Amino acid sequence: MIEARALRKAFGVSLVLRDVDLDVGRGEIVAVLGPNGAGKSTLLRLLACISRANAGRLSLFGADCHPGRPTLDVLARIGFLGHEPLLYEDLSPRQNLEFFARLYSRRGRRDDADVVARASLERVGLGHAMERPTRALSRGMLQRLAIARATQHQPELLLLDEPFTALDESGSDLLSGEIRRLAAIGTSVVMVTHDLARVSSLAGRVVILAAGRVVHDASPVPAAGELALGYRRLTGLEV
Amino acid sequence: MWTIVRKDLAIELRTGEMASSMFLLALLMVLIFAFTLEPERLAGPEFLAGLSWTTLLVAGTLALNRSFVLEREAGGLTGLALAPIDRGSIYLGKAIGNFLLLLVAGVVLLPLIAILLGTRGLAPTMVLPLVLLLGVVGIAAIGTLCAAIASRTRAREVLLPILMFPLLAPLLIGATRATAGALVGESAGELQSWLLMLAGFDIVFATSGWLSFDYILEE
Repeated sequence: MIEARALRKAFGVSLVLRDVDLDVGRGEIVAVLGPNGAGKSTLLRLLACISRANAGRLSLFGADCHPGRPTLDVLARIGFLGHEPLLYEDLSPRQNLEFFARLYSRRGRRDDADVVARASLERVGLGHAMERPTRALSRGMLQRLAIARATQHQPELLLLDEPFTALDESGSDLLSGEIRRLAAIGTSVVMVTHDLARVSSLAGRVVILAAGRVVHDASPVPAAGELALGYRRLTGLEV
Repeated sequence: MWTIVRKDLAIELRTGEMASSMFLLALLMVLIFAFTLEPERLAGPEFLAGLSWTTLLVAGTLALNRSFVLEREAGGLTGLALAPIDRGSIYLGKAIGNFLLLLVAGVVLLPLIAILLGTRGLAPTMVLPLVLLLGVVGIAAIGTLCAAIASRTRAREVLLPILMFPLLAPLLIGATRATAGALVGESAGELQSWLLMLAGFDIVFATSGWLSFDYILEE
């Protein structure tokens, strides 16, 4: 699914990623850990093809995405949940999801966008709020809506940047369930998070980034306590 | 592309932000001219044409800026860049949305200016709608491109007019001359050179925007 070799990214003179290698297979759930500024979000943005690397090679689904460019077919198979919800505050949740369902409907899935949007909203527990203005949603509800946006087209590669942020316990459980459901049908998941308990229970592999380098890449993932000890030893920091 | 147009129109219908601010500013500008100058003396076709296009441009700048602020607010532009659509289509979708808004503004503005500043001696021909169409296409094509570039900077409100106005100068000259001619009854044949210039300008800038938008969206 993902084959990244010696990915490098700089912003001006600041080198954020240094020769990162990463392979992720079909149906694998990989957690990416690391201190603030380690390059985790930048790595996800490169994998989502939103941002372009300065050097290295990236192949997704066997297609060259860097130094080449991702095809529309590759983009249609990616789901991305970042720090921003990537939604329009002046549209309702239903209008937002319907809009994105239309954008992603080119892959032969001719499902009605309205039906897809309504089903996605019900799945994330926002069925009661589908016609409210998005700007009136709470932070947690907005995160649920963003999860629906990122997953409603059944992506084969799901990239999640701190996805449990702002979610209550039921929202976190819902997201965990969604990640497991997608992985079970073959979706690869790369997840940046600081929640070690969730990492232990969800991920099959953990990658630790520090100062833009992969300093640890191992599976299976140990229990949260052991993982925290290993993390502290590798980075010198608390999670 | 049409999905993006529909989305922009849905947002505008829901909020009315761009249309209301644009119309209010246009109305204020026209009223200031009407009260401070002597309309009977100044309301020749050249003055009316120049005032119409200047007002439309200044008011349109607000709308163009707002159209990309909406995209930047919650990362909408990133959402579009992630989607499996040709990035040139994103540009065309945004440009068509802006074109429709500017066209409505132009259709309201021209008669308003004529009524407020006087219509004596005017005999508008059927070329006038064509001039309006070509001029508005040009403003939307260049404006959308410049607004997208400006939206990636912190000084976007300042940068947009600085980028856009010099590029639009030839178009404004052509549109003003053609409008002035159309207001006094000149035919399409007589205004052919201006009309061709406007059409050429539109094609060049719409194509440039379509081809370069991939690089503008890139991080």
